[in-house]
Amino acid sequence: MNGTLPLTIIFPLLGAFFVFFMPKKYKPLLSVTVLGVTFLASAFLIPQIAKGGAVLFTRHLSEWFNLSFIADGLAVFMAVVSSLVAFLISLYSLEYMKNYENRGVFYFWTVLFVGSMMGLVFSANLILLFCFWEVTSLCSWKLIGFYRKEEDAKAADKAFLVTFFGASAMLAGIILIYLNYGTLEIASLRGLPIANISAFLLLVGIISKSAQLPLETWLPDAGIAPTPVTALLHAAVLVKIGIYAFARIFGMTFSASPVFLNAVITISVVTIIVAAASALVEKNMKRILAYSTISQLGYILLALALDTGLSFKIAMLYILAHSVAKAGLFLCAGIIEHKTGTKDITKLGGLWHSMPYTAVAYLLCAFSIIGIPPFLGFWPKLMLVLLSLESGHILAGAFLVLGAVFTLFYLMRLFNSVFFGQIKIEAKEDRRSVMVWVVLMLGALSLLFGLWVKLPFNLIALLFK
Amino acid sequence: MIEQSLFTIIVLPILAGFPLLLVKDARIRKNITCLIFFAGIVASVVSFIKPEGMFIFSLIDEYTVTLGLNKLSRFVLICINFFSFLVCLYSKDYQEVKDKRVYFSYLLWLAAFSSLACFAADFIIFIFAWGANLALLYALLSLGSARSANKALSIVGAADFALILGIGLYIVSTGSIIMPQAAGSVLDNPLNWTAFILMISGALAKAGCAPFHTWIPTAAEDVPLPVMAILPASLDKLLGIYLLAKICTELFILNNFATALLLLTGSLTIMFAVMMALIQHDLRKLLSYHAISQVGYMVIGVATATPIGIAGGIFHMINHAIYKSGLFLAGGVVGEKKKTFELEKLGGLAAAMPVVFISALVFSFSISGVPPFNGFASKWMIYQGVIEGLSGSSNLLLRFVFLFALITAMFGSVLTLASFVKFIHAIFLGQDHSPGRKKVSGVSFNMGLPLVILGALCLVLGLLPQVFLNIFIKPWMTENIYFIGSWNSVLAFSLVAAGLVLGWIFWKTAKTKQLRADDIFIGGEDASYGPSFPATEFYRSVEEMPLMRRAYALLKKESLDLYNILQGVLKVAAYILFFADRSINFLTSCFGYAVLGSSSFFRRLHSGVLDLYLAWSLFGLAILFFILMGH
Repeated sequence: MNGTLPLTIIFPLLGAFFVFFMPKKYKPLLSVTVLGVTFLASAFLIPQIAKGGAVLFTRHLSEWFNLSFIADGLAVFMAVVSSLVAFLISLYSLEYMKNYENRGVFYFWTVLFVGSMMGLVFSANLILLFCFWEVTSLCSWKLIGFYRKEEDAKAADKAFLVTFFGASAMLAGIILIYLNYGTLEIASLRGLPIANISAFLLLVGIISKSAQLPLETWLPDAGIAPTPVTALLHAAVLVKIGIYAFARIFGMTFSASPVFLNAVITISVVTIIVAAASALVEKNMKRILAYSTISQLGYILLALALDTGLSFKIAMLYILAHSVAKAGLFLCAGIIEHKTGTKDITKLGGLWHSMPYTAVAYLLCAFSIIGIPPFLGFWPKLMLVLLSLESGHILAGAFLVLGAVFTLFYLMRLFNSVFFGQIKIEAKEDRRSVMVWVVLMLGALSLLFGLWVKLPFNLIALLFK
Repeated sequence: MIEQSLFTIIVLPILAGFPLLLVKDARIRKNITCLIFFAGIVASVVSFIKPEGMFIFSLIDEYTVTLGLNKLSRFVLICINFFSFLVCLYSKDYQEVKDKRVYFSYLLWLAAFSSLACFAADFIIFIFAWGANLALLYALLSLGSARSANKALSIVGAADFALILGIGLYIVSTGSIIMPQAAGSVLDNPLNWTAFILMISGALAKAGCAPFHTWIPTAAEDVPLPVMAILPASLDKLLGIYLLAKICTELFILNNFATALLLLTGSLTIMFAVMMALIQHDLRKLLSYHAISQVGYMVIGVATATPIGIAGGIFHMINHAIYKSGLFLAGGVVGEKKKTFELEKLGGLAAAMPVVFISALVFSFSISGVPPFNGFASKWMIYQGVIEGLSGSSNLLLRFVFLFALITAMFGSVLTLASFVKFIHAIFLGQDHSPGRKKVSGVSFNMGLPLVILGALCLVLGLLPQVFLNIFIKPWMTENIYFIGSWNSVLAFSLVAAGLVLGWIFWKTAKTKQLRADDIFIGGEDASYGPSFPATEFYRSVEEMPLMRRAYALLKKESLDLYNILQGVLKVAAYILFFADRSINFLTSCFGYAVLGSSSFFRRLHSGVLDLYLAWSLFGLAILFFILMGH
């Protein structure tokens, strides 16, 4: 069973290079297979973790850098959720990307991205984590600039610059930790206090990756990329890296000071409101959804900053709910863009008649993001509101609710503009399409997990007992 | 035992809703849904007779969900399943919905989640059930139009989020997620006040009380009438007033200010909505404004905080669900047969549809508070509650508010009657104004039976209110209900019935052969329309009175619509916050340009020309030299 952990990391990394050298015809299928196997491999780790304890894999190299990996509840949870959503997105991209000449590049960077994500979540050494962190930045840079026009390059550069700036600060924080404790092994650092300066430096890296204020503006601009990329980066994987790092470093390793945690709460609350409000003003579908992602990540960060056992579980449930539903929303936007050729909601309308399945899938996912029961997104949002109120952050609780009202308005505004009113651009019917099946599946998952919430809760409880 | 009820009333409808979506045969869908609702009625009656204890299960380690029924929720549960069954039966023949594959599944889920709200003994599961109803409200309204569904979702959704925040604050204040069953918190600090206001907003929005009502008339214009009958007319009212009663009796102890606030809300709702109903020319909009107006009575009843007032409010909630769903269903039959809901184009249908006419007449009398129908019985209790509150209050301002509530409630009843005179006349009496005057057939069994049952209930509950109160409402009350004076419904009914019979006998036996033709006299006005005076012109003069014209202009203003206000406020806030985001973006871009600028500067320094590198080296050496010289 111990072999499963290296397999989960090495398989997608090697798979990426196989995809690179494979003839163009086989690249899509191979990448889907690689991502499917990665998902299965990470899922196979669940029973092991549930039985008790973490799975460790270590190769000693030096005092500060070891090839050490750990598969504990957090790592396995993130790996399973990310690889599942990445697998579904790759299925979707089979149809979406089939007409793109340079799709081979897309598949290579996507699989490499998932591989580095796997490496990152299983890293048990801070510098190793940082290395994978930077590989993901590189992948996202290439993927955002996929179309290679000037504006694409600009958006990609912006994303890379901002996240690189954050990563540099993070590296400085990691160096300070090493200077303080003489090790970067997560297991050795567990339970130790972290100096505020190091914590804030790490936080700069985290908020740059998870697009929190004031380092959030690269994410809406990155919506210029092909839809599978935006879904993968914005919804499922890339932006969750920062959240994961926060959970790993401040939730499970160091004990952070109240000043630091309160600062994080403030940042997340401001992000929730500003991003949600911006989504209400934007007219580009993908930018609206990108702002929505920023806002929703604020909720997750807030849950982690509340720093209790329950808030940790809530954050995990939120990650699951958001990954599934937001991937669905981005992919719906992709179908619409694919069929109509525009992302501007003022140029769209009346698509309900030609694209009813996409509309239904959008609604199912949107209700989950808004937090309307019985959808999955309701549970973590409700619990987070209650928990923040109970922990004395009454103003934060009130802003969380206000953020939810904004979410209701901007997601429904998007829905109404696109699917109702006068038909402005004719679109082909959306039946018999893999893309539609994938978004329906994501919508159905949001509903079924919400109705049977004990299932994801039990999984989380099992992983974090 | 409670597991069986939970299965029949909640789990079964939720699960059955999914495979029903795949059933192609509409008849099977309808029959299965009706059967499930019937089983739900039986199960809810059984749970009413035999209290079944609690059902507790752990959601996660930190949250344990508790389900159970108290005396009030047991009774509301029966009502939910009963109205769902009747609407389902009626919908079997209603053209607009009967073939829609999702409709019956939505009905099942709506009833299941509404029932779950009754079963909820803690706030978590209550919010879950309550919010799920919002999703189904959206789904059902979208069968009619996206516009109304969106408006309802926005208003009720925002109120639901307010409710969540209110409940959260209440939990902070009390430290428990279990819903208390008696004597709640005192409104003596800002936290409790905020929680109270937010929770009340959620309850009033669900019940459709002003200022959260504006989605109802919008929905009435294009949503199928069975949906209106099940949502704003019955289930939403049941849940909204059920929560309001819980808030005012179990969660909080009302003080003078809270009482006055609720009384004013109720009074203004009655007056505003009934005034709007008076001038409507569309059957559906007329009924929808009355659905709003009647909430005012329930709110006033509960707000009195007197046993008779609260019991009257709850009783009126049931009565309203009976006659208002009946009215919507009767309106639905008319619309189905005549293909229009415009009052100008209707008329003279009494002979063609006697069952619909008589039941609509009964519902109209009930809603107007005409004895001996059920509407009178509950309104009478509410009036007594207001009088008791008035006489028991020592605060002069509160006494004035009680008096205002009493006057508006009574005047509201008068205007309701006036409005329904127009309704009955326009649809069933006079001449048929429809184009072509096509003859219509009678009502089908499936559509007629619910009307007959609801009509009979209006009479039975009006005649025997004490029996109903003793079985369903008194057990929940902590104090006894005392009536002021005496009222014998059966005697009053007997006298009215005897009068009618005598009148009929006189009319039959009198040998009136000669009829005298005379000028038409209508309230002293010139009846230029002749004998076919249209009902829609009944209150035109009221609308055109100088003061009323201004009042109506104000009431009709869209800028006063909460939906528009909410959208406006959010938009302004959004633009301000968006400006903050763009400012950050500008700074980020500046940072980017600074990086690019500096890299371009350094790139120029590395031009590959040897002389330049040499010059730089010398420059560097010079700096080093100066530094070393300094040391």
